[in-house]
Amino acid sequence: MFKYIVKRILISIVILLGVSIIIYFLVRMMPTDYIDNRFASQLQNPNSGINEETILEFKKLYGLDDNSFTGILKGYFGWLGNLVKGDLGNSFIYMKPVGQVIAENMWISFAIALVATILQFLIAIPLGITSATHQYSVRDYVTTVFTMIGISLPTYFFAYIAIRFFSVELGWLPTSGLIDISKTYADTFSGQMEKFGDIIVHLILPIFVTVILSIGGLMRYTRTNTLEVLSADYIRTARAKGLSEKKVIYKHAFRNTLIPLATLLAGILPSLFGGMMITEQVFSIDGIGNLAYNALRQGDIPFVMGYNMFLAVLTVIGTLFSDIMYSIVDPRVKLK
Amino acid sequence: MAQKYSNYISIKESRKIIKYNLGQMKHYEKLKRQKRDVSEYTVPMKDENNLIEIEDLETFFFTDTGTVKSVNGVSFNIPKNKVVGVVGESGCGKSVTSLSIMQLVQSPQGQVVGGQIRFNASSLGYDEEGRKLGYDIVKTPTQQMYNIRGKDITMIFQEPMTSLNPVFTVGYQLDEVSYLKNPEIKKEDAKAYSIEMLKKVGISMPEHCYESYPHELSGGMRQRVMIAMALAGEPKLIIADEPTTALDVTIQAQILELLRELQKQEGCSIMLITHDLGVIAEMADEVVVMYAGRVIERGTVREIFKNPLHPYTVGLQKSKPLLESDADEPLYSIPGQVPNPINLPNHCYFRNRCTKCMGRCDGEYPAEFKVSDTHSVACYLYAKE
Repeated sequence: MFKYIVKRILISIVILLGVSIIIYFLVRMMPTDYIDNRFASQLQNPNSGINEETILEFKKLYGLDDNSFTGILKGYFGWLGNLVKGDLGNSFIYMKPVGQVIAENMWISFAIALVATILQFLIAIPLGITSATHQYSVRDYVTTVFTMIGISLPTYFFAYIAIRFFSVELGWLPTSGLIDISKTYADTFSGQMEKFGDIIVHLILPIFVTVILSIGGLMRYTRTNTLEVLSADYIRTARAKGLSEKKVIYKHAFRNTLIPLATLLAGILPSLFGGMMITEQVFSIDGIGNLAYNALRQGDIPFVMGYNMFLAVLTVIGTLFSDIMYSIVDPRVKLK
Repeated sequence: MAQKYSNYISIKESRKIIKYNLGQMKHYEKLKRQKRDVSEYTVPMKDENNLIEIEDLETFFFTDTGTVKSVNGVSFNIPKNKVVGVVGESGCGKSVTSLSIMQLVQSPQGQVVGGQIRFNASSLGYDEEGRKLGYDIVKTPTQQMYNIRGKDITMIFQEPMTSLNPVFTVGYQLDEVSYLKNPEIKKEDAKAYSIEMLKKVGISMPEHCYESYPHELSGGMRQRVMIAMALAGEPKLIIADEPTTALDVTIQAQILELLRELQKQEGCSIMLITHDLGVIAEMADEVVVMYAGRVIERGTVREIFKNPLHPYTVGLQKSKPLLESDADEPLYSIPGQVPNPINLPNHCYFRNRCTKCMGRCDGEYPAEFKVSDTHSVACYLYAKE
């Protein structure tokens, strides 16, 4: 087991190197870069003192001047060299070390994702199981239709509908942000509690949207797996033994349904910490997803690299984690 | 043309079938869940010495292409302390009959729609007229079935490879039976009992086997574990649904030997389902031959093998390879195919494949004609008049 994990970590390093090369080249090959974006308007204005020459100088300063293959390669190795020293570089637009930006803004995304994921599992798995045990019943069709609607709706569309309905029409919930801007909070305990409560109220809608849109997939997955397991011979054996239907489903079938669900764990880590670009964008929450979205639009290479490597590391760890989970839930799997 | 496209269903017909099926399934599912008084599902047995009396059992599957009458008016008895063999080719309703006895037919598509299965339960007494009472399993609510399954009637399945739950140890799965019988049993007692059962079925290292997961055992071992599980409930009837089909020949012989021995030792009955006539000849006391969801011939093993009457039974016996037969001669096979189980016509189902077909066979399905006290056959060849 230990040997297996060490081996997997060593392989992961190679994978991460490959990932970083691809991402770096892709980012550098984007049609506009940070300097072009930043000074595009000033360039139009002859009085601003910005001309082609100063722009070129800026580009040199930021290491963006040479867009030939060797130039990009040089840039990549520069980035890699800093990374080995533990430095992800400074973000162009946030003016701070990338690591610090990620660490500062990760937690709000994590909070949303954690609550959403827990709710998603709590709702989708029982729903999937009941609609499998009542296959082709009214209950099955109703849940299938609603979850399918959930899968099919794009995030930005559904999020705006939710805002329109709950915030604008009914006025129950705030439309965006994390705290009420018009309010000031006292620096006392009760003041902080009030602030905390306000944040929670602001998070209801984003979490609601995320959960509604994501239960569909998990629910269908659970339903299919449960159906497959329920038609297995060992379930018939369990019934023939005289076990009650509850025990058959929640003991004998459920343990087997869990096996394929372990695959999903691979994707959980990046989705927990990686933020949700579109949702955060729509609700203007300064989570890591929103930051990454802006960084990507403005060509903030250090941040995009840092963010994507962060996701890649999480994905690699997630996969390893799900493989270990396999060996725990399925006695037939042995890690070597 | 009509013949060629007989399997074709128009959208209109298909909708009609689906609607009909939904109605039927709902009806029977509701019946199963209904709370009933004990008196509603206890019936007097015809003969006290029978453990199971099946009478006109009908189990249908409501499929999207029509109603499949898998078991269509089957009647036979399983006497106490006897081995009853049920033979027939694939899809003739052997397994469905056995699953009907356990109320384990794949629902909601499959439903027992008619007939009686009388189970002579020792817990039930006698009625006013002095007749032994039994459960009518067709009407027994599911809640009551939990007390019959695994205790009075147990089952051994065809596929030992997939019949044990892969994520639990053999020990856990065996212990479950003990806990079901006696929820207050101590852990050590359950374990001791399970190990005793494993010993009984001839597993050489029962303690080791107890700790193993099913995938760590061979096919023969797994089937032994299944038998141990079936025995653990101290059943009155063991239904063995092709217990040796998935095993190789030497293991087959061992398992059959074991079953036979245990049956004598424990004094229970076995309903042995198989398509292997050799197994039947070796094991069974009485034989039931099934074809397309009906019993076509039944009798003692001697009668069926020495004096087969129904042309199908005769054909089955002829298609058995014999060591002394001429090697140049190809093995006999019954010509033709089993009829489509949907919309079976009301005449002998074997008519089109029968070598002795005659004018009367076009008439309605033949009733069972008694040849002797124990031997009966459903064929016009043996009609009395």
